[in-house]
Order: sequence, then structure tokens, then C-alpha cells
Amino acid sequence: MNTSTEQPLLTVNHLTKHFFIKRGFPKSVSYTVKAVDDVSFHVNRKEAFGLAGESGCGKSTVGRCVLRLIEPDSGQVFLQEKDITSLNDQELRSTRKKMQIIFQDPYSSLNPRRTIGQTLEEPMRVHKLCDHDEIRNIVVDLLENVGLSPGVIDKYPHEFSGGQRQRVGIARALLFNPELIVADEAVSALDVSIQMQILQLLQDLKEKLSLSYLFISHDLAVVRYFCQRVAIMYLGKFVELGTVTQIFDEPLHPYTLTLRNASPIPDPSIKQAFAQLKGEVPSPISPPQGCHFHPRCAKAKDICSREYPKWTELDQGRGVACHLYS
Amino acid sequence: MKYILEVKNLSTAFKLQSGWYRATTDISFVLKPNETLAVVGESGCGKSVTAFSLMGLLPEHGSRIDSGSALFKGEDLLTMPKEKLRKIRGSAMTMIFQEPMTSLNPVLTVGSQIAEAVFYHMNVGKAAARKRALELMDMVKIPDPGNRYNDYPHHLSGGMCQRIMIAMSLACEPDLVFADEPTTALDVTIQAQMIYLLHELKEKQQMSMVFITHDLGVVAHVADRVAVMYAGNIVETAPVADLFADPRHPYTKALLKSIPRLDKDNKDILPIQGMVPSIDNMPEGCRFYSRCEKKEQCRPDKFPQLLPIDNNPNHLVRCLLCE
Repeated sequence: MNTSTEQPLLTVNHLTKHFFIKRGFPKSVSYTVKAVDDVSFHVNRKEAFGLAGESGCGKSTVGRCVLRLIEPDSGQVFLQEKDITSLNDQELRSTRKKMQIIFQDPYSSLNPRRTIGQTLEEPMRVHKLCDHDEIRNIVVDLLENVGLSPGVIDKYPHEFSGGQRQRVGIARALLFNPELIVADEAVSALDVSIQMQILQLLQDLKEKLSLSYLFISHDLAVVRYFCQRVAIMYLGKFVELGTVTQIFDEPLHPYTLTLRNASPIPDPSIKQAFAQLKGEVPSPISPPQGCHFHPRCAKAKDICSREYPKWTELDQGRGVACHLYS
Repeated sequence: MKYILEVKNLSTAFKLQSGWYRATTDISFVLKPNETLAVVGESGCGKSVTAFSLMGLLPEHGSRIDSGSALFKGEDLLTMPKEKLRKIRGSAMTMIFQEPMTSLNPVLTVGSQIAEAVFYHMNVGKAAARKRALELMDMVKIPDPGNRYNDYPHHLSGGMCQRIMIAMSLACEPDLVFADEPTTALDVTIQAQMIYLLHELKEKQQMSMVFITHDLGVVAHVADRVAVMYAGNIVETAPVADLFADPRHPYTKALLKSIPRLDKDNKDILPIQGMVPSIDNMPEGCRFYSRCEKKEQCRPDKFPQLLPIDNNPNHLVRCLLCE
């Protein structure tokens, strides 16, 4: 992979987001949840970069911080050379045309009172990208691009199936010819046969329109199919990053190995050792001292309960945060 | 007794605005003692409706069972008086629901919810019921059951709540358990623990299970036999190894080709084109016809029957091309 010569499309440096929550009654105590804690990565052009992990690990928060739908506490996000975290509202608005999001739930992310046409035309009017008369033609072209017939333009979201709604969601993300699309669990709510249709559509669009994806998913098999590189998250931190083949065929971090071994493979002739898995994800309010994973780790050493392991860069852009490799 | 459950030609209909429509048609399957049958299919294919019909949990208004019989240990569940069904349900025949967090009563402690089932069905006193509940909590590996007994569902994680649900369903040593997507709402490491727990308990307790899921990965690890459903029909049933190694129905074949695998590069993945027909617009013939890759060789007007293939009574397929 020739990554060193070309500048990445998206660069994220030391991104951090903490949430403050109050618990208890009548006397409430505030806690800090380190949803995203010092996360760095980049996404190359025409690449699908995966973010994988269990629920609550902070993968969606990373996606939203990248678009500044949530304001990050610290760290930088660069789209090419432009630092998104330092833009004012007006600049941000025009930059957002280049970066769009596809949401998880195709049922709740479309306005039920608006036709598909109204939903898709509004952003074009707001940004005054083209003449009034042209808008409809552009929308029709777009719908054809995502595999919907132009006849759907006057229909309401409830008239569609989940897969079709997700196609509308994709069309909306494509309105301004973006360069980066954040796909936040974009296929998780769909049935298996529809899931593949949507993934192939996203793949075709990537080739056709030179898109890059930040692909957030909890389904490792889908990540392996769709992405080139992937980062595994656990309690707000990256534990391992590398190409999908590296990560899933030769995982280094014990958590990556745990995740891989826990994902059931659809083949009864492969016996998987589910018996070895123990423990649950700890509460992000009070993650364990030292390495967050050490209470569940089979290879934990003394140091693991004292110090959080440093991020170690290995060859070929691979990185891991584990005392076994530092 | 050869079969614990014998379902024949079960059809369930629901009332929509424009009339009655069948959600499942002609469902037939058998379940041997100590066997796990996985029912797999996409959403809306009727897998949960089948379980709810057999458990007598369909809503009283707006649904009806059109035809069929379901012999549970020789007695028909569908024609049984309600009082009798009530005695069986929760003791000899139980269900694990999909969402552990919402299926438990939020205002009762988790321990008392397990003890309740024991108290009503096993003819014991409250103290004995409590003791049994603690035993069960230990059996499903809840750490420190004595203290957890008085916790409310919101104190526990999703995985722990699902363990409580499992303990509840096993409280009266059932012969048959319906597990309706019991791992779908859970994270993958917790899902793996649940699959292992259910496997262990089944070895210990001698029970049959109908395991409803949409995840073929889970099917491969829990099932002895598999029934594949599509648009309200069972389209194929076979022992689990045969189904994955030698699928015969075009839908099963296409489904297996369309799921990405973690241990492979997935270069040869092919999505199934088209959509499942909707309930108010079911074709008269084969319901998979419009999406079938062999439709040129087939005819759209004849409804296929579920028949043995290659004279193998364990492998049934509903396909005109296989007849």
C-alpha cells in the first residue's frame, strides 16, 4: 500500500471527548465518562477505514466528533489540510458538504412528514448549489445512482422497506458529492440479504465517485468484507489498528483475539471455544486501573494492572496498545 | 415417546385494515427429545409468530390460527383449554425472550421473579421457592447470587438480565424451551457466553429447544437441526451439518453465499437481489420465485410442497425444481 507519498484525506490526532453525567438521588454525584480518549488515525483517499468494538466503546462518538456533530474536547481533525476543530460556524457549514453521514436507523432518520423529494431537495436549496429548476433533475439522477426509481420522489418514508430507506439515506449523504462519508452502523438494522445489497452499493459508489468511508460497525465479518484497514476500540481507546487481514488473521491484542473468537462463524465444522470467554465490559464510568482489558485478559501481567500500555507502532502502519508488545 | 413436539400444517393469520392475511402458512416440523431445532430467517418471515402461536401468546384480537395441530407430548396445544395451557406454559414449556432488559418486570427484584415461577408451578412454599431461585442463579453463573437476589433489573447489565431470563425459563425443569433471538440484543463476547451457557445447561437438564434466530453463525453453533423460513413458509429443514455443506433450496444457497465471514477474504460474496414479498401481496406459487436464480427453469403458478429430497426423510425441501 502506497500511503506515505499521498496525503491522507482525513487525519485525526489525539481526539478526546469526555462526557459528564450526574447519578444519584437526592444527592447527585457527577462522574466523567471518557467516551473517546486520545485517539489518532487517518483515512486515505478511496479507502474504507473501519471502527469496530462492542457497544459503549466510543466508536460512534469518534464518528460524530469527526463531523463536529459533537464538539470534541481536545485533539485535531484535519480534512486534507483544513483543521475542522478550529473552523467557525460558517466555514464549518461549507466544509460539511465534503463530509456526510449515513445513520444507523433508516426508520427514524427520515422525516415522516416529508416526501423523499422534499427531504432530498431541502439541503440543495439551503446551500444554493444550483438553479431552482435543476434541483429535481439532480435528485432524480441521485436516486437512480442508489438504485431507486425516479417514481419514488413523491412518496413518504413509511411506504418504503428498511433497505429502500437506507438507500434514501445514502442518496442524502451523496447530495453534495462528498469526499468522506461516515457510515455509523449503516447496515446493522437491515436483514442479511439486504445488508449485502447496501454494502455492494456503497462499494460501487466508492469506485464511481472516489469516496472514502469511516465505517463504524460492531459486526467484524462486515468490517472484514467492506474495509481495508480497521481499528478496534475498547472503552474509549484504540487497542489495535492495522489492515483487516492483519487484524483478523493474526490479531496481536488479546481483546482483538477475544472478539474474533467470540464471533460465530457460519460453519458447523469449525468448533469455536466459547467456553474460554469470561467477564463483561466494565462500566465506562469507572474503567479498571492500568490496561482497561486486564481483568478479562488471559495473558495479564503485573504491570497491566498498574499502567496503561503505550501505543506501539509496528511495521506497515500497524499499531497496538498492549504491554506484551511494548 | 418419539417426538416432544409435532407441528402439522400450522397457519396463523393477522387482521390488517383490508382483511385477514396469513403470516405463516403450512408450518410442519417435529422435535425429538433433547434436540435443538434452529429456526432461521429474515425479519417478518414468521419465525416468532410460529413460537407465539404454539405458546398461546398471540393477541386475542386481530389474530387467529387458521389450521393445524401441535402435539406437545401427545396433547394438542392449539385446542387445549386455556387453564390447562396456563399450567404447562412456564413449567413444562417456557420461553426466553429477545430483549432481556424489557422482558423483566422493572418493579420486582430479579430473584423474586424467578421464585414466582417456582412458587406457582412447583407446589412449594415461599422459602423453598427462594432457595430454588438462588440455586438457579448459581446455575446460570450469576456471581454472588445471595446479594443479586434483591437487585432490580436496572441494576444488572444486559448479559446478566439474560441470565436471569434463562434461569426463569429453566426454573421448573421444562421439557421444551422456545428461545426467541435470545442473543440478538447482546454484544458478541456476551453472546458467546450465552451460547456456551445454553449448551452446558442443555447437556445437564435434558430438554428440547426451538432456537429462533436470524444469525447463521449462531445457528452453526447451537443447532442439531435447522429449519429455514422464507415469507411465512419453511423452505428447507435438515441436520445442521447437511444444511451448511449441502443446501438444496435456492434461498438457502443464496443466503449462505450472501453472508460475509470473518475467517475468509469474502471475495465470492453475492447478495440476493430483490425483496421479500409483502404479506398483503403474496404470490400464489413459490414465494421465492421472483428472486430465484433458477426461475427460468421453473413456473410461478404452482405452490411447492415440503418434501424429502434424495429419499432422505431428514432433509426436506420446498422447491418445484427439487420435486
